[in-house]
Amino acid sequence: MWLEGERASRSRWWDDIDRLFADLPPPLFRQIKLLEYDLAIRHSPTGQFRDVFTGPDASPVLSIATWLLDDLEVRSSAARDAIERRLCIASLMLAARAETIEGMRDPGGLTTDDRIALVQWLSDRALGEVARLIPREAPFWDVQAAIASEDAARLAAQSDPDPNADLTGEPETFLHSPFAAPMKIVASAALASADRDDAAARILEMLDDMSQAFQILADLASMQHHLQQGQLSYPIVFVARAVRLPLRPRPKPEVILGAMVATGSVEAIVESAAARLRNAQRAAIDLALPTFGAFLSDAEARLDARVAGLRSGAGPREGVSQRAPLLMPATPTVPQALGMAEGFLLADPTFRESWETHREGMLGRREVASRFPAGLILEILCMRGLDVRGAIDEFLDFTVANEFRYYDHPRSGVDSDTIGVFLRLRPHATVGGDFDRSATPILDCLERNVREAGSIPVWITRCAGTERAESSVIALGEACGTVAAHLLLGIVSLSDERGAMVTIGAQSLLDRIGSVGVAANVNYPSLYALGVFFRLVQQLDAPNGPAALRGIEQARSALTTELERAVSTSPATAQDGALLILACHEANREDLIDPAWLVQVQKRQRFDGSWIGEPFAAAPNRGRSVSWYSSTLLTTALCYDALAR
Amino acid sequence: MNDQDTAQDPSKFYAMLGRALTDSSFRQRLTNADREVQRGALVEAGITGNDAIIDQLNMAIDAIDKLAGTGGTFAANVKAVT
Repeated sequence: MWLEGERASRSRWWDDIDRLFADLPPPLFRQIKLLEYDLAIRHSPTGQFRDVFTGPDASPVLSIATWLLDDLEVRSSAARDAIERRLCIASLMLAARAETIEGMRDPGGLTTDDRIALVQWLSDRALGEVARLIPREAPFWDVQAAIASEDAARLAAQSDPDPNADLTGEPETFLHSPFAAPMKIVASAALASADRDDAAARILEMLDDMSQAFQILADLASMQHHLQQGQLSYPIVFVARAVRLPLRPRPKPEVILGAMVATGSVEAIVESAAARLRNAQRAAIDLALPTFGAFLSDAEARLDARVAGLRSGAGPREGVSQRAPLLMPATPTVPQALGMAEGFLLADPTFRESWETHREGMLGRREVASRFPAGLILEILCMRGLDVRGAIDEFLDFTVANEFRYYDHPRSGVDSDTIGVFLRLRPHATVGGDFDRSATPILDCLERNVREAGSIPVWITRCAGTERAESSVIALGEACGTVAAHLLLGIVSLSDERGAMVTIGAQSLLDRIGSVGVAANVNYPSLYALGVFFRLVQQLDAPNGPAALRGIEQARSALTTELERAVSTSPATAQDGALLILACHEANREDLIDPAWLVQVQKRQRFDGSWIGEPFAAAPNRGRSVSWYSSTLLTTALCYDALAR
Repeated sequence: MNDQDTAQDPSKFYAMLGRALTDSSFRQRLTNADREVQRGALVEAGITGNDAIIDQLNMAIDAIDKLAGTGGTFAANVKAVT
C-alpha cells in the first residue's frame, strides 16, 4: 500500500522537479547535478536519483505528504493535487538542503563551502512552495519556525562543539537526523493544508522516532568514517559507554570497532533502531495512519532479517533486494588523497604541463618554454621522499645544455631562479660531481654580478654567451626577494669559496625583509614568498649557517607579523590554503595551522588526484601584456606538500 | 600484552579486533588454522598470544566474520556512479 503511494507520487511530480533543476543558472545547475548524484549514491536503493528515499530501508522523506493525505482520507481533487505537488517538491528541496549541509560539514567529503548558494536557493524554494498553500497568519508558520530553530541549534552545536562538553552522557545526545526537520515541516504543512492540525504533535513524535531509527542505521554504516574524522555519533558513544572507554582524547578507530565486536554491540544498536520503529508503528496504529503503519511494519521486518542475518552470518537471500551494508568501509582521507596526488604527479616524468610554455611568438619563435616550474615540483617530490632521481638528472642535464637560461631560446636571459633550483636539486641527482663542474662558470659570473650590485639580481648579465639576450629583450620581474631567496637556498650549502657571495646576497635580502616584510617579494604569491623567506631565515640562522649576518631576528619578526596577519583571514582556494599551511611549517609555527585549511585542500582535489591550476606568477603574453601562469601539476605539488607535512 | 594485561586494559585486544574487521588479510592470518601464524598476527598487534587469548580471539572472530558477511559485505563499496 505504502509502496504504491510512493511510486504514484513520484511518477506524477518528478518531471516538475527535473524542469525546476534544468531552469537553474549554470553555477547552481552544476551544484545541483553533483547533489543529485550524492543523494542517489547515499539514499537511493537503485543508484538513480528518481529513487531517492524509496523502499523500506530509507526514511520516506518524499512520501510524507502523500501518505498523510491518503491516511487522513483527503479526497482526490485538483486542490489535493496542488498540495501533493508542492509538498513533494518542498520535501525534496528540504532533504537536498539537509544533505548539502551534511556534506559541507563532512571534512572527509568533497562538498565545498560555495554550496551555500545552493542551500539558500533550496531553503527559499522549499518555503516558497509551502507559502503558496498555507496563509501567512496560519499557526503552521509558528510550528515551522520552531522546527527550523531547533534544527539550526542542532547544526550550530555540531559545527561548534563545546570542547568541555560532558562526553559520558547518553548516546541519544549524539543522535540527530538531518531529515527529521524536513519531514516534520512537510507533515505540519500537509496537516495544516488539510485542516487536520489536531493530531500534529503526536504525528511529529512518530516522525521523530522513525527518523531516529534510520539515523541510527546511517550512523552505524558510517561509523568507521566518523571515527577516522574524529566525530562522535550515537553508535560510537554507545560502544564507548559499553566498555567504559573515555572519548577524550578520541580512541583510535580500530579500538572502538573492536570493542563493538567484542561486546556484541551491533545487535544492541540495531535493536535500538528497531525499538524506535516499533514505537513509531504503535503511534501510527493509534493515530489511524495505516500507510505509515504498513511501511513501519515492513521496515522493522527488514531490520529483523538483518539481525537474523547477523546472527547466522548469512547474506541476503537470492531474489531479495540487496541491502546496504550495516557497516560501510571507509578509507582514511589524507593517505588516499596523497596516493592519488602521487599518481597524478608521477604520471609524466617530464612534468610538461607545468612548463611555462609560450606560443604567442616570444623571442620570434612559435614556441618557447621554461622548465623552471618542473624544478619546483621535483624539489617538493624529493623532499617528500619520492624517488625522482631520474627526472632530476634529466632536468639538470637540460639546464646545463640550455646554459642556465630561463627559456629554451639562445636570446633568453640567465636567471637566479634557474641557478637556484639547479643547485637545490643537485644533491638529489644520481651523479652530483659532473653537475658541480658545469655550474662553475655561471656561478663565477653570478658572483661578479652580486659583488657589483651588492644584492642578488633576478637576471644575471655579462656572462659569456649572454650578450645577445641583453641587447634586445625586456627582462621582467627584477629585484624580487623570492628569487634571491630561491638562489640563496641553493648556494648556502656550497663550499666556503662562495661564502662572500652568500653574505652579500643574504645581508641585502635580510635588510630588505626587515624593512618591508613580505613586500620584498615581487614575482610570486605572497603566501608562497612567506614560506620561502621563513625557510631561508631558518637556514641562515642554523648553527652551520653563514657567519656575521645582521638582522636575522628583525627579518623573522617582520615575517612573523605577516604570518600572524595572514592566518587571521580564511584562504579562499586550495592553493592558498596549502601555501598558508606550508608557510606555518617553514616558520615552525604549526600551532597557527587551522585544520579547516587542510579540509579546504582535501575537498578541492579532483578524481584524477590533481588540484586545478591556480595563478602562481605573472607571465608575458601576446607582446606587451602579461597574464597569470598557472599549472595543475604545480598547484597539485603544493597541495600535496601541504597534506604530506 | 598478555592475558592479565588484556583483562586490565583491553584496548590492544579491541584494536586487534577492529583491524581484523577492516583488514581482510590480517583477518585471514588471525583465523589461520596454524596457531603459529595466528600468534604471529597477534604479536604484530602487540599481543603475546597464549592459548586463552587465542580462544577469546576465536570467539570474536566468529562475530567479525558474520558482521563482515551480512547485509552485503564489509568490503562492499560504490563501484560506479553512472
